[in-house]
Amino acid sequence: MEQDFNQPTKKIPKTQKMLTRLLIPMLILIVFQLVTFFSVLAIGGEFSFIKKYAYDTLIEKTRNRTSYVEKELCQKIPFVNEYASEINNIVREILEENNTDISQLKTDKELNRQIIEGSVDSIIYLLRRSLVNDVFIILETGDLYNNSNNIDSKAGMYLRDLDTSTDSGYKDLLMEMGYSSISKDFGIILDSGWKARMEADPQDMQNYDFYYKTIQNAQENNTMPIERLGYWSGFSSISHNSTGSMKYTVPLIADDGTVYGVLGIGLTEKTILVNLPPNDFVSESACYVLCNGMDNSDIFNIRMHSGTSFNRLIGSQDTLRPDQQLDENMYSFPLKSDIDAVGNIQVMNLYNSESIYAEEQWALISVAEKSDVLFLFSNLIKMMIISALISIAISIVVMAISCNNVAKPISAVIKTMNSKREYNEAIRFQSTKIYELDKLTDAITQLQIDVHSFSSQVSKMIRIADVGLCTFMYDSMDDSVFVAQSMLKLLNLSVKYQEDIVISRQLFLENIIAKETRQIITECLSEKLTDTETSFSKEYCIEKKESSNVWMRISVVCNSNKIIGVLQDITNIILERQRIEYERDYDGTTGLLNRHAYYHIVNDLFGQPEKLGIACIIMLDLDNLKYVNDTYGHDFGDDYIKTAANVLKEFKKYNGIVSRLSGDEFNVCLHGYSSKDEIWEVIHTVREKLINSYCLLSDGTHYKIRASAGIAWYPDDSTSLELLMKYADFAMYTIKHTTKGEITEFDMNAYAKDSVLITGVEEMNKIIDECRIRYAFHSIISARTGEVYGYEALMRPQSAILHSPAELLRIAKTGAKLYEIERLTWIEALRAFRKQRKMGNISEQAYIFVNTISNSVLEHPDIDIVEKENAGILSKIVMEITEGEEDNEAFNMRKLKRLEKWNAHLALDDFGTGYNSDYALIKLHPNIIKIDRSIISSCDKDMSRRTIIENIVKLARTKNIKVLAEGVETETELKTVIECGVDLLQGYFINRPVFEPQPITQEVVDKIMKYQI
Amino acid sequence: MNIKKITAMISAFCIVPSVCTGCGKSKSDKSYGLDAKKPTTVVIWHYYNGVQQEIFDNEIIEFNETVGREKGIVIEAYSKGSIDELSDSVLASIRQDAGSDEVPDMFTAYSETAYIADKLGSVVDLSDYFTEKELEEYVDGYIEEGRISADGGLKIFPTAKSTEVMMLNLTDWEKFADATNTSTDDLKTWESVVDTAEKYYEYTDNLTPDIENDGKAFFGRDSVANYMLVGAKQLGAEFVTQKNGKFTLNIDEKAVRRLWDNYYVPYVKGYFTAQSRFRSDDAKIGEIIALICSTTGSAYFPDSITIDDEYSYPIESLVMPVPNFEGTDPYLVQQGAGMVVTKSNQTSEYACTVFLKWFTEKERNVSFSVGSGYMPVMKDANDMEIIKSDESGTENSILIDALTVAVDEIKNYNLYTAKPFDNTAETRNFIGDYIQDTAQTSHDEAYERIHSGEDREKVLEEYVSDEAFNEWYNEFSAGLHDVSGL
Repeated sequence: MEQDFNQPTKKIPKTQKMLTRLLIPMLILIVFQLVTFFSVLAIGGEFSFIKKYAYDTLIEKTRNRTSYVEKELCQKIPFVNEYASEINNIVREILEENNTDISQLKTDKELNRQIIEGSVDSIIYLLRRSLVNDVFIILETGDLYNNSNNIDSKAGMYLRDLDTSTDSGYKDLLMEMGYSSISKDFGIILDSGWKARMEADPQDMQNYDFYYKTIQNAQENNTMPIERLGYWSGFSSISHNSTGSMKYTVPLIADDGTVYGVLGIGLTEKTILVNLPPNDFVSESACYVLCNGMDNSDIFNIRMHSGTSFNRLIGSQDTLRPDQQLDENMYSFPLKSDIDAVGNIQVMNLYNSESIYAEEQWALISVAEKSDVLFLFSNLIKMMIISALISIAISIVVMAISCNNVAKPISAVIKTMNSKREYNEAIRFQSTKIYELDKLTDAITQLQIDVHSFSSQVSKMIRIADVGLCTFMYDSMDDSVFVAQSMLKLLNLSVKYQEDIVISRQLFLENIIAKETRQIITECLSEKLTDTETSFSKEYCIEKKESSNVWMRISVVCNSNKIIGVLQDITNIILERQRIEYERDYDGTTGLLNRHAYYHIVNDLFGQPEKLGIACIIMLDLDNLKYVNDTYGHDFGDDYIKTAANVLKEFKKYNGIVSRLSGDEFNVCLHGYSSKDEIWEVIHTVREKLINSYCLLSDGTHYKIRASAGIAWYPDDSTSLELLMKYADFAMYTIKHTTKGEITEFDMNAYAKDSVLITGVEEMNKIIDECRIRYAFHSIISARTGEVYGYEALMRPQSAILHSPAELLRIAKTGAKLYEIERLTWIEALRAFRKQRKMGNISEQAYIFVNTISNSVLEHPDIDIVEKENAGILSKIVMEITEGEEDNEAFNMRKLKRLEKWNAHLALDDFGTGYNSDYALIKLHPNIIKIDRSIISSCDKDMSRRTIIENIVKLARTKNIKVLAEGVETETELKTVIECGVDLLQGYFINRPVFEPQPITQEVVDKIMKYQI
Repeated sequence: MNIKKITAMISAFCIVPSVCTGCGKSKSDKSYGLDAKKPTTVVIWHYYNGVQQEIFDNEIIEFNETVGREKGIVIEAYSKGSIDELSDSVLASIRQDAGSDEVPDMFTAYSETAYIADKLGSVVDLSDYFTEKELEEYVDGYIEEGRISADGGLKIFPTAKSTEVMMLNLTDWEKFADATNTSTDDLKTWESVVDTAEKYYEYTDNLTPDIENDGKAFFGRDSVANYMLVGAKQLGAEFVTQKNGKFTLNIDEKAVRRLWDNYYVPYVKGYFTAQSRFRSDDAKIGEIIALICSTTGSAYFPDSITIDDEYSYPIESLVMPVPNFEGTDPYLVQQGAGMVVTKSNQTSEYACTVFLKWFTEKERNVSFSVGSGYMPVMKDANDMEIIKSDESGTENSILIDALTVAVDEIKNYNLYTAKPFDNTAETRNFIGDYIQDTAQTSHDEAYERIHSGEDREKVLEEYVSDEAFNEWYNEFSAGLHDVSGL
């Protein structure tokens, strides 16, 4: 069961709404169906068929329009040809009447007038029959009418009817060019740009192309029938302010082959446009363009256009050139307007194949915006897409409704389950009217009943077990608390309820009896809930006045919306634990803290120096315990210890922590004082009691308690508890080994001495590395005059641990650091000497006595440093050699050589104590002998010493060696050595070694002088 | 589920077509069924020719390409050559005569034709398509003239009105004036015009001393009917008057005599002439140097003269107001056809009005005026500053001059238009033609005799005597009664 419940929390499967789960497969199905639908259409070629159909529509229209235009234009040709021959007849008659020939046209103006006037009727018939706008006859009159102004004038007539559909006699005719008499006679209006003759401006030949080209080609081919010489020219106008027309011109050729003029017709744009309606296309963005070009070229010159779209599509372009073939007969056209245009080119056959102009091609081109041509096609696709989208949308809606029909009852069930109700109230589901769901809700109801009874049984079981467990569960959703029956006894409500209950948080909290419990549960319930599960537990004490305290533990588990709490009475556990702790921490015999606990507590204390103040550690050792044990037995020994312990407990009153470390050893930590004196007062008080206390022995005697104690001070001696305990121990043993039963303070010096070897090496290294040595100067004076002879440089290590040079040397020797010391001595001693000389404390004549270490000799480059630094005063150096060990002969020799080099002196130290002093005297040839203080000391009382001195002096005299008496400490000694005849004096009687030498006192000098022999 | 899907699909396919067809029919009531996709074709018949026709055609192309394209209107315009031809065609179509064309949607017409067409019940009352406010923007007289029916409905819409101006070949005039000490002040009354014309005849006769009686005519005028009708009105003797809806014919001998004296007499004498269709044609070939024409005709006034089709020379021109009879109030014809919309269906009728509104917009109306010589019909547009500022007008300075004078005339003259009745056109034609034709015949006869050697003075006296007038008058009077049917 439990495992089953835990399963879902471990791995949460991805959940989706019911709608999503149903919708996605349905959508996939619809999309699949639509894809199939479109694919079938595409594969079946329906799309390309529709596209082709769209193109074909355009092509068909263009073809029809082309044939209209072509027919319209071509049907004029026979009329022109017919009337051309009629004009020929008229001309022939007139020529016959006038008995002249055609060449006279170029000279006879009257002949021209006759021909034109004679042609008027025919020409007007031509205009009316062929339903054209313009009709004209122009005679090749050569230069007959030309003036000097460069304009080529030709006689002729040009009539215009702007509207071909009406025939109002001559009333709607305009004369563009021709004889005014004709206008007058026929009542033809002169157009505003009327001229009597065609005046071709050479700068504007484009407009007169119809005439000149026809004439020229006819002249070249004057034997051809005129049908082959007819020429279609583009739009042109013979006067500047009239509308242009597209003209068909045939040459007029006389029987003799003379080309004497042209006859032609013209059609205005408007007339041609009748066949090209502007709104011929489904869409508006299309137009027809009438073009001409050469047969062998694909460039078409735009001559005319229809439709409003022309300007937008083609605009100012003069030519059209198909770009690529899209379909049969469909081309795309690159346009300046950058519109994607397509079109169809339909060639018009305006000339028959025999015509000399046959290679000039006229064509009607339809140009349309591609998107418009394919409008149906794209519209169809658009519609299909819209249908598809709508069917998808409807499917979604229908499915959403269906899903909702199922999801709604389920949601209702969920809502019912989530709804608030009494704790033990059964869930009442409405019928969902869905069979399966109703079954499910029944099962849920049953399950709820089962769970409820199960949980109340569990609750009962807990209560019966009486393990002091109470549980509650806070539900943040409805701010209520489930209180198990076991918990009720902690509440005021216990009387009212006999079962598990659910109450509001406030009621719950208000009714908790114990205030400590209430406070802690209030805290628990105000925990911030998060999604992650947190748990903690706390122990607390309920203090009771009338009985012993009760200890409780509260354990709380919080998750997203629930806080489950378990309260447990742990008084017994706590008591047991306290007992074990006591046994662990306290000594069974004395009831004092044992070593472990003591150390723990005091160590904690040392973490808080502010609490510590001035403090001390007292190590106390009972004297004579062994004796008592041995004499009176261990029981008495224990009594002895207990008695002492009871006295020591007094310290507790004075902020002391007392512990029995072992057997007869006690340790006390007194702390929180502001001065040592206060502590001393306490110690003395307790000591007094201790001294006055005793234990009753088996023999009835009062056996006094005696103990030795060592005190180490915090923070003077150390701030470390370990050290302080060590120091106190040291002090205690120190006193115990001397005078028992006393209290002594820790003496660092004593301690250092004993412990110097241990700590010394380190200290020595430090001294050497950091040059922590100073040199004191001890005066050496003349035993005759009391004047200063020189100074001995005495090593003074600047260290708390290694004070004496002897110790330093001892350690240096063991640590193989003698050379370092030697080097330091030579360099630093001489530096100090020079400094004092410079300061004037040492006179220039004074010698400097430097103690050299016998087992060591200075090496290069240190020798160089010394020589370099002391250049000039090397002769003032007196090297003291101790005649100690044997095997330093080689060193000594080297030293001697160096002295020789420096012209320095040698003094033999400690003379008289070595085992072979005489030998050394001989061997080393010293300049000065220093008689050891052990000989000088008490020489005034001891005659043998005096004798030795006198002998040495005697011996030295023979060798011319000066004798120095070391360690002269008393006036009588002074007197003795002077009497013995020594040369030089050194000792405390004269002065003590100092870092800054002072002059010899007059008193000393006086005394020396006094004892002179 | 599958069933649901299928129903969804079915309903989708049911909805799509209905939605799509719904989209297509977003119909606005204001458009009277106009559809840019299915353009309505409007056929216009007019009588414009030459310059006017070209300009009118250009306007139509512009309309078709802009507003027409946008609203779905295609205008097709056909010229019937002349006003008479147009009237006949229209009436024949309306009467459904054999061989006649279908009735156009709109045609240009003088009031007389509109009057007849309206009587036949084919004319749309345009006030249905224009608001009062819109109509107020047009010159009141023009709108008023269009209300020809008894119920006051607007039957003729003014598009382009014209009046008459006097044009002078200034170059040749100055030669003459300098030589004879004449000034343009001598062209202010008909009487003085006749005197000046006589002087000119003598002056030109004297230019060729070797040839006798070859003096040239000074003056000619288009539309002699206008001379007669306006003159009669000016002389207080309107030929046809209307009283209580009844038309009566009045012929005042005195007035007719004065009209006769100032046209017929100088014509016969060779001081006036009319040889070509229009007097501007006569001017072009140097036959006359002064003429009266419609403002539209001024466009044809030449800038050079071609003599004998041989040599030509450039001329300056001067536009002047039309002369009046001495001692009368100034009167001036107000003519120019308006547009008549025929009854068909609302869509076509509305399409016509869309075009009319567009066509008479101030700037467009002005540019049409400047191009064609018609007067603008909007109140605002009858302003020389606006007319002169029109860009298209800079080419044709004669037209600008003519319009300038015409605008002035309109301000200072009484404008006259004969009220239409059943036989207006016939009556009008008769009045004009009769005097013109008889004068021409008499002139031709007289000069044949003169050239054959008879004495000029005597011969001419014979043709312009009181007896000659009386004879002429009687025939005129009888003919007029006949033609007018009054």
